[in-house]
Amino acid sequence: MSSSSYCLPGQPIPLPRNGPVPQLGGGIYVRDSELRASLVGIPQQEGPVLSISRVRPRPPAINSVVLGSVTRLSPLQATLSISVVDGVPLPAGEEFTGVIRSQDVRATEKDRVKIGDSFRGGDVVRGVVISLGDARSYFVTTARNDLGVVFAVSEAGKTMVPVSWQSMRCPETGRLEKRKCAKPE
Amino acid sequence: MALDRRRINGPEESFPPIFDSDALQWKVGDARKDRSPADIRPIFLQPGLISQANGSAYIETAKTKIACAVYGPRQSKNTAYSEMGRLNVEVKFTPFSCIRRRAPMRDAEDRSIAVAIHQALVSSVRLELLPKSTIDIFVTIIESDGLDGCVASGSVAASTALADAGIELLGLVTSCAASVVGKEIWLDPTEEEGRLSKGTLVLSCMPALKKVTSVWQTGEMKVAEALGCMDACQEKCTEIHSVVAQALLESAKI
Amino acid sequence: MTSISTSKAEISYIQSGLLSTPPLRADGRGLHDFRTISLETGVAPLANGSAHLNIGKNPHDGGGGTEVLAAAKLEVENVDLGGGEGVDGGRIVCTVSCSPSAYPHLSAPALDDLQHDMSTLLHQTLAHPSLHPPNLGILTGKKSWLLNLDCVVLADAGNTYDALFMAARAALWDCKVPRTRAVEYKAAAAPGAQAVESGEMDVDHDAEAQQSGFDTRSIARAVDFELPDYWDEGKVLGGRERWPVCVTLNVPPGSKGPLVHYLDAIPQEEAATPLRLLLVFSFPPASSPNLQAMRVLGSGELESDQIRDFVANGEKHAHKIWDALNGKLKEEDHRRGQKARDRFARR
Repeated sequence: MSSSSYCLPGQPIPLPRNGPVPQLGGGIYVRDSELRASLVGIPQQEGPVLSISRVRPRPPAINSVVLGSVTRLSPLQATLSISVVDGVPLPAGEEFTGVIRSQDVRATEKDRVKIGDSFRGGDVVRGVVISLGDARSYFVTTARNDLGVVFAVSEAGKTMVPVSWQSMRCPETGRLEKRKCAKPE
Repeated sequence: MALDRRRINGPEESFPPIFDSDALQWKVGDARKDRSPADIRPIFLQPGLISQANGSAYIETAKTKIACAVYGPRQSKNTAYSEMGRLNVEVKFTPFSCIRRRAPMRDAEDRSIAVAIHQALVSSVRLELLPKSTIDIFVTIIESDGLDGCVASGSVAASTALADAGIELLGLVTSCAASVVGKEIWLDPTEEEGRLSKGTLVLSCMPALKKVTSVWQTGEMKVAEALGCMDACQEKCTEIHSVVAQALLESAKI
Repeated sequence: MTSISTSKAEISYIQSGLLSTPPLRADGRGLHDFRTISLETGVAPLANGSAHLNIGKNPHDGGGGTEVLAAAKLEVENVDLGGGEGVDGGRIVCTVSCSPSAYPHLSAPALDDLQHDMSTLLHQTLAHPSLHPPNLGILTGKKSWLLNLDCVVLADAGNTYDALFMAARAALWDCKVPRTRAVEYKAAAAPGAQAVESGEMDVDHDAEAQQSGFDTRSIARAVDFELPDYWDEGKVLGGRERWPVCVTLNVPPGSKGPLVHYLDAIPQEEAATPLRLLLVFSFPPASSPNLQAMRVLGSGELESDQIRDFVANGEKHAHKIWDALNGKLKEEDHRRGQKARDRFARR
């Protein structure tokens, strides 16, 4: 079997003849010391990792980068409706619920964080999943420079631009609003 | 609707006529009508017919017609935290799927088929990769020709739909029914054959791993007959597996 | 089935205990030992047959254990070729209801699903035409008996399926069908009365029927029936020795090679064993045993050789249950017959 042919779930995958035993990526499992596919697709080796990749929506896992909009604020936490996981948008209506607790908003001065000064309803936030959380929600953190609000609308209804890591300006009125901004790339 | 008492009213309910000649076409002990005992009806299988679902499949074996859609994984609502994902199977008969009209509401038969399909599939899905999530499988029986056929074809369609949805599986599940009619074992019985048989067995397995995921037997069978049915079904499952494989490969290459 | 939360550590402790040599179980039983079973028939005076079964009652304080109450009740049903549900020759409907007190941790829909699953298995097995008793008909084309077999799970301490089937067998064994006699209204001009299956026939000469010129039909004319017996006497169900017994083989995960299976799991063991195989056997006296149902329940995989092995083993276990249950049922019949005679003598 050549390496470019399709595999089906349960089908054994031959190990590459030369070279070290690969690490397993997604879509492959080991059963009785035999590699088998668990997805329909072509096994591909990238560096040491052998995987069958399939671009499809998947539930958040630990360390997934997620995008979501803020749906609810409380003094202790902001609730997020996660709509993109690892760059793959979820189908409409199948969003996951995430929570940013106040201690996860930023890395420093955690006890001074005010949720109301970090997020507002409707903001689009980029975060990283740190825990599968409880029955209801995933725990998300924004405690990194590249994480935080990526899109927000001012009180005047215009898209704001970030001016520092904790404020954004409205282009129409020029007023500053407080946000935990993500560092633009 | 108000009843008009001045006229002779028709009956409130109506049923299709049952002809004596239909019921008497063959009886136990006769040879099978259209095929040999070890033949199954031809299978048409097409993945990906329902575009809004994450994955879907349509299966047709003679008079059994089943559509299956897979949604998810989505977040489990209203349940406790669980490390393993959940598989949720729902079966619906269309009102016109049987000889008698089925009122469109959930009834006992729907659930027992759903439980059987769930049992066939649950060991094949790598649920440990999907914590806190639920996979929903909706099976619509458009036309039914015997419960056992619905369970078998429904399991095949659902497994194909799961593979089409890109959900990680240990292997594809195929399933086959067998009946003991007289002294013979007839594979893939129709509704009529199932009614006249002593007992019926539906076996679901993963041919790639040579593992059985479900056995669903009702009625009376000698132990040897049951084991014979299982062997015959397992052999046929391997053939059905190649049908599923071909259907999936064709849809993957497009 | 049980969703009592059992910690991972406890699960793995139970599993390794079951797989170790010699196997260890929390209550000191061997792998194929049952807990004590107690059974009493005739517990529901208003039912036609009933049984109360308990598996694993604590010998010291008499509490605990799986408790199942089964009762068979007969109803007369019209046989209607059109829309009705009645069938010639009668029918059986089995229902299982689980008392919420047995499953306090389950939500109402989950409890519904659970009892529905149990009902389905019991009904599909016991109401199958191959087990149908011959004496549930009353008047061909008119009336028949509907046998409702209702089981109630009062407490679940594991192994509910075996308990349900044993209780069902006992209740059906105990069930008595009242004798019936057909009654006919006969027009003087009509041809003679036809014998109807149970008993001779009473013929009433009906003056009005005589004058009716419209009755041109030539179907059986028995229109009604009467009960010559008192309500609690009658014939036992035909083929009552065929009602099957169930044996649940629990397969702990990770058992490879020589297969380990154990019987009569307690709830903690059920939680640690996701895979089980249900075998329902009936042992006709003169031929090889019949399998009346086989189900794989739960997640896990089996090889066909393993199933072969399990069926052979299950047959042995089921035969033991069968023999013990038969002995007990005979004893119960005797005990209740004795009681009835005593009461009769006193009067």
